[in-house]
Amino acid sequence: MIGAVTGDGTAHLLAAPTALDGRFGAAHAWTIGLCALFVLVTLAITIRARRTTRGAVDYYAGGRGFSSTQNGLALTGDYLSAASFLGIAGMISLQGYDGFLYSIGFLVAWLLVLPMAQLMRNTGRFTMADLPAFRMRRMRVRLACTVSTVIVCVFYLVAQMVGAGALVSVLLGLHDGGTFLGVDAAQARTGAIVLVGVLMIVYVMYGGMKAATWLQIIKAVVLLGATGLLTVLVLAMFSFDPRALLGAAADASGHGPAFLEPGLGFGVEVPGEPATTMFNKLDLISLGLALVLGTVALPHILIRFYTVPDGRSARSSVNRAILMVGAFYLMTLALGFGAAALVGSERILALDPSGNSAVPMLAEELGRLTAGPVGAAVLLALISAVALATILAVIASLTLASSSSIAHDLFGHILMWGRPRESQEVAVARFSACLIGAVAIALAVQAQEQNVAFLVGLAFAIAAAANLPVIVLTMFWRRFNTKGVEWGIYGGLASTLLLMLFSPVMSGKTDPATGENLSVLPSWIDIGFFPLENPALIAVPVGFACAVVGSLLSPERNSARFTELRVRSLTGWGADQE
Amino acid sequence: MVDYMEGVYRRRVPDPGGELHAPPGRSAAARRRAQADIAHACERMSVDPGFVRLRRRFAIQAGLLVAAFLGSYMSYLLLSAYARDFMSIRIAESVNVALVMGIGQFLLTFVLAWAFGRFSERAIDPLAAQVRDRAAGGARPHPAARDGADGAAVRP
Repeated sequence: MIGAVTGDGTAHLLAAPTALDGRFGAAHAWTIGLCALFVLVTLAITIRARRTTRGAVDYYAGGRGFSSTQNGLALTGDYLSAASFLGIAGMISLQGYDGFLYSIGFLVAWLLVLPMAQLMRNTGRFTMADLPAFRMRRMRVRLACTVSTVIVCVFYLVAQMVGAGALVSVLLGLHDGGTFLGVDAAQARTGAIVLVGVLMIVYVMYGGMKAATWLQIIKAVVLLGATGLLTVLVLAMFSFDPRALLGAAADASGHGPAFLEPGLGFGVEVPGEPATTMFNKLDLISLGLALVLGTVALPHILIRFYTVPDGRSARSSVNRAILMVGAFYLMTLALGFGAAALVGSERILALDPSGNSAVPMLAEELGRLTAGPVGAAVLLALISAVALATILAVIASLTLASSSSIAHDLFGHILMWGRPRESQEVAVARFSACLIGAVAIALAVQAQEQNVAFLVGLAFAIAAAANLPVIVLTMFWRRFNTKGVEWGIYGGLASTLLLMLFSPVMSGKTDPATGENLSVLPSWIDIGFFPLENPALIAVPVGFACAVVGSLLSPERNSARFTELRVRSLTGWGADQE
Repeated sequence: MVDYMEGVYRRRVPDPGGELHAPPGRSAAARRRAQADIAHACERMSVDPGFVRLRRRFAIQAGLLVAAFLGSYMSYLLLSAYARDFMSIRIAESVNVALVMGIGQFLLTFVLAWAFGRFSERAIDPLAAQVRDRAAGGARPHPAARDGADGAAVRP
């Protein structure tokens, strides 16, 4: 599944004798030092951002003054979560080609964002709800959009925060029931979740969009830098010959040439069971669809387009993000195959079945090969700090997206009938950032023992099934109306959640070899009748169908507003003065 | 011109929180009038031959982009799922068709993104600026902005 760093995913990381065996070592000192440096720098930026944040435009949209390069970096930072950094490289190290197949979906998705960015920048102001509300000035439209925005953000947030907890307990070497300075694994995880949660609330409450954007920019630079360093080191081990790297990876993986061919992870062919094989393959298609269609409708990506001065810079910032995201995923290819070749699938698999430990293990191995034990400690600490920075930055953006939606849509346009005082609205935004943060901390602490990796996939699927139909039909269909928005969002949301509830993820999935329960619910509950783990293949058409049917059932139409929207979205006329 | 659009943002324009974006102290009637002005201007712009051309160009360009990438990505995905013998043909040593096609997806993404940006700069942006300029000659989209940003905004 997508979400890499999971409840018990990383829990077995690095059980081999390393710097991380539960005692305070050089790697801990380096990790804590680097993390502290990152936190100090970002807090300084937050204080600076707070000083220049005066009104709603500053808080929600960073004053619309970011350049397209800055915004491109920030989009890259927003998009590359720990799932990309640790998860995809880990998947490549274990499943070879299929992990790579997965990362392609994440990149290609940006080509759908490219034509939409300009239109969305010119039409909206602060949140996703601004797009349909430009045509339909109904509170019900705003309410529906707020509901889906908050749900997508909270699912994504919980997955990332549980990941942060797992990562920290592993970094302190607490996976095998040991203690670190008198703290056990559960306490360390809870502490880590609360700590990143509080930091994220501070960033968003005080700094708003300006702080969040700078946080993303710094994170993107650090992440790309660290990945680049590891890539160069890996390639240097194989005298810069990719073929040698691939060959060594295939040999060390234990799969031979099959490691470089499709079929190890997705769309697995089960001999003698044609139905299972068919569903496995459909699952692969469904996953690809969710990734490609979900990205453009993720609320925290969408609000980034409001931080640039005009539609043209929105478009060119996407162009830059494509370049950087693409470069990053190409580098994870080297990291994944490097981990397979240098660390070996066997060792990775023995420590952590999900493969999230592959990159930290690779970093340690590379450090040892180039500069001995000190190198191992430093490189491991660097990668750990980058992973934490990655999680911290992504959750800050998610909190901002949901608190903006609550303040601007729910409070500003529904409770205050569209006439709030600006200062009031921003105060509510700060308060709701606090609220969302607290809810996410509470949920993540509750779920820390669970495998919540599926939540990231679910967030993409909801974005594709509930948000995308509304955005697309708002932009291009004259007949679209209030009822269509409501049906589209609630229909897409309900179908995704229901299909997920009845899927093998929630119940009825057992390990064929050991008989162990692999689902979220306890093994005596079996309500699974939907065979796919990724609901997008069914849910996205359902979302679109609901939106169309809903519109046709209602007589409401406003052709003049659609004309206005079309003129404005294409030319940018009138978008500048807001 | 395009710098006309950019000049405005760099200045701080007061942003009212309300839906109608009218500065405080104006009557409801004045707000309605301003709204009707905008609607009228948009109606006129939407039949402007320049705008019709702009719309068509954007539709063709975006349609081609989406068709190209969805086509190539879906066929790549389907090949990975259903044509595994083909995908595992070796090309050179450890490099097989699947890997080359995967890298090909990356390259295609870069090329398509670059081409879309390039065409937009050449064909879309100047046309949009022209349509906007012509509209600015008639009615200003937002009367409230006139006081604050005139110096930078009006550049004939």
